[in-house]
Amino acid sequence: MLFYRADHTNLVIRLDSNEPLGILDTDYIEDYNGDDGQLTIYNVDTITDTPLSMVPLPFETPGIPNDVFQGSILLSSLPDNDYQIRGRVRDVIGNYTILSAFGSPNGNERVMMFEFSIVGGEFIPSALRMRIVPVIERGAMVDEFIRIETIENLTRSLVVQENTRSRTITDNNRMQLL
Amino acid sequence: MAVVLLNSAGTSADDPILKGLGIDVVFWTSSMDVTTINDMGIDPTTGATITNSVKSSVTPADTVVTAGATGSYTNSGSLYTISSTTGLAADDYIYLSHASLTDGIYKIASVVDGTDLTIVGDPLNGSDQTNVAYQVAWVYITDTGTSPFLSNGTGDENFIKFDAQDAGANATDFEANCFVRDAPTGSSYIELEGGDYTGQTAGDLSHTLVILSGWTNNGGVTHLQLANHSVQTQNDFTWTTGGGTGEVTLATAEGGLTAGAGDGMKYGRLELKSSAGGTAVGIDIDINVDSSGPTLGITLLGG
Repeated sequence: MLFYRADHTNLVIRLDSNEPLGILDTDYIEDYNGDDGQLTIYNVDTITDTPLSMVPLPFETPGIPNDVFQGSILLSSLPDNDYQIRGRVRDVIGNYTILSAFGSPNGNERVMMFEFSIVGGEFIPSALRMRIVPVIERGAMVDEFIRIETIENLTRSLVVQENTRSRTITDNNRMQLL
Repeated sequence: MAVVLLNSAGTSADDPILKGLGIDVVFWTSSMDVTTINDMGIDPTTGATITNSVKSSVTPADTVVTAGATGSYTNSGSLYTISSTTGLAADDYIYLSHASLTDGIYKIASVVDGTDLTIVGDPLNGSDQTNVAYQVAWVYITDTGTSPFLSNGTGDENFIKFDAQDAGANATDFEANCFVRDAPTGSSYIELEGGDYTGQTAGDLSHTLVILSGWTNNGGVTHLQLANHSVQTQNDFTWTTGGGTGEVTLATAEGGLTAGAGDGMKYGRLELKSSAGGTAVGIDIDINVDSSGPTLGITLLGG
């Protein structure tokens, strides 16, 4: 996962669970060292830990307690590097999930890897390359089929109806073609 | 006044019979001289008056009076010979008295012919016997959830009354009582994995099971069977001891339940009985099995 630094001041990390988390010692999340209420942002390149306090977001899923948490940290404290989010949580009946790694595991936890990289700059879609492929018939209508590609191999299709001047589509990277 | 017991249960409100269990109310005499039954009943109050008569519902009919003091037993064929088997059928009861058995009521296994019976358990098995005293009893077959039996949440007292007389018109009123109680709620009724029998979440597939733990004699329950959940129409449980879903003893059932593999909701139904093959009291059970840690998602946002 790439995070483009762009002009952001903070990195916000949101954790979603598919079920309510159970209480640990004093909170619902513990970092790599077992300290409650926070996660560890582990810098893979410099082998350093940065704690990230996590707070619940109870209004994200009303009626389901302790399943969404969020923390924020100044991006200036995180150089461009590869990172792991580390820590551990449990459900209400005691099944544990480790985020990437945990210092003193029980040995029977589920493990899920969470890695990302912080990079400078801003994500900008590459210049579009367009080509027109053979005409296809759809009933009485005749459409032109246009394939749009970026250098990141993002591919989206656009169907332009005959005699229609333009039509808009939006993909996950917010590219728009008018 | 004597107490009517169902598998030792029924002596008090705290040691009651569970409402709905099958019960055979056997009216019998040890004097073997009854010639006329005046009435039989099950009432909510004590006293000689019989309000809720069941005389017309007993088997054999109250007019079938089969007594004698000279019955015999033939070991070959396990035949109990009495004066007449007219009106009798399998599952009726007979009072037997002899030095080679424990005096009491026994269930008739089959009616062989006009004078011969076989008895469940064959209590005189071993050698031929003479002078087997007997009198056929009368049984009212019902369950403790059906009128005239009454129950409530704290244990309702029922009075079972028997009025009979001998050839000399010497009548005897006999009365016995028992307590019938509605099923409690939650884990006091069925304790599944240490808690309520519905709505729980467990971390593995093996679950403890306790039936009516607060009632001294488990409400008279002796056997259990597994069946489909009445709403979900499925059963995901087997007996931990011995496997399967068929009828087992209370002790085997309390060895626990094992849910089918995989996480998720598990459904089933427990059928409680007071005897093997008897009338069942059913209760739906469920538990959510969650044996793995939470599934997490991480989202990075710029702020």
